[in-house]
Amino acid sequence: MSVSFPEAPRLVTRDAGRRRVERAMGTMISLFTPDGGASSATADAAFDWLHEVDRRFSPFEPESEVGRLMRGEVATTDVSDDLAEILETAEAVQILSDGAFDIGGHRDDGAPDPTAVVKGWAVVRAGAILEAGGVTRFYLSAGGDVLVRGGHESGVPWRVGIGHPTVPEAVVLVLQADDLAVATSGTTERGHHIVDARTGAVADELLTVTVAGPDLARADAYATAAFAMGHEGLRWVESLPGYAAAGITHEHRLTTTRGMRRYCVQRQ
Amino acid sequence: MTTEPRPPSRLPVRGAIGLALTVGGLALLLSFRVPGVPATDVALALTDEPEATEELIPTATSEPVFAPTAPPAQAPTEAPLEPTPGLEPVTVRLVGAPVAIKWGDVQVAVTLEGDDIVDVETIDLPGDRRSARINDRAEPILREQAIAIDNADVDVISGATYTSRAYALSLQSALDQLGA
Repeated sequence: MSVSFPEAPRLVTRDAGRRRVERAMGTMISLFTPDGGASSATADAAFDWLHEVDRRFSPFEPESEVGRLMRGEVATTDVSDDLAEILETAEAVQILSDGAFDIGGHRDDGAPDPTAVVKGWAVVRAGAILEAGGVTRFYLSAGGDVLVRGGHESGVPWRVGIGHPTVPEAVVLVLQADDLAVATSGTTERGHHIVDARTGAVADELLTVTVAGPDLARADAYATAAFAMGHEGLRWVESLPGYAAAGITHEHRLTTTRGMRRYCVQRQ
Repeated sequence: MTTEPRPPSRLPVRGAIGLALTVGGLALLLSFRVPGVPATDVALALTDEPEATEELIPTATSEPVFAPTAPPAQAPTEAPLEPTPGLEPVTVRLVGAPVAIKWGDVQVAVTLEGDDIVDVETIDLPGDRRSARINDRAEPILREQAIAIDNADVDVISGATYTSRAYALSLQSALDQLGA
């Protein structure tokens, strides 16, 4: 018997009060709550929010706001507050990265597609829903973009592994923090190339870039931009207050910015 | 898609591997549990004969430039949970289903001692040139890495690979044979 992709894998969660996995935003969202609450009404609300994001901001739903924006039926100045926030984040990162990150640049028609920012933004909001409902310790992972909050337990931080680019089940670095957003970009886990929007060149200096910092939408966009920039991108992230980067080169060298070291707990 | 609530386990979940993969937008959450029965009873419920793991001799390989962050597979970092007096943990080896990826099949087998993963073997990895180039480097340290991640006590992972998704699926199918 052989299971072929892209069928969704069967998901096994035998710890229903603490673990929950649902499909949203084109990926799988995992929630882990060490103190329980993954089946609570609060968690329901957080996942409901993510499904709402799907409906409202999916580029694949013709009637979604993003669908209409991409077709030019809605002006960027006439969008909902939520989408305005998403577009502002995208624009800010585009400016900061000197255009390496460009929500329009990767599409032939130049239509704005803020999808790259939506996921992280939505997960941050889902996390806020959890915290408002009293679920203060959790991780949320959206296809490898990770938000941890509140520590694993009192005095014990979360441990976020940065996946090894070629060795399954292996990590190259473990980041330790109570509260952190961690996003990874790279050809290996995305299945398509990221293009430097400034030059059109396919990014190929690095296998993966991981960015850690306070905000997941930013971390995700920074990782995408830094990946497109290559080695220069790591230095660029270092210049952004509060954010740190780790890159893995094609030679399998691991490079971290100075800021990343405060999270590194194990490194040989 | 909400997972169905399950009855609370009599033993805490141990050896759970949580994987969050960015691959094609899919995530896996692997977990297994040996219900709160003596390990011998568990073994009796399995169709697989407990057998010694065949020794995989790692082929010569270039060492990765950076070392894995987790310590190599050694003794478990924590004592077995509620060891049953007078009963040695039973070793079982479970073979996962082959999982097809673009370049071929990935198939792993997992060996459990009681409810601890002590070994993960790669039975099959894609063989064509492209993936072989990747896997020549990856495979020899695959087993200890898989255990290492368990020992590293990583809560969640950012980023991963195609191969690892298939690997995780096959591993899950092996662990599924334990039943819930």
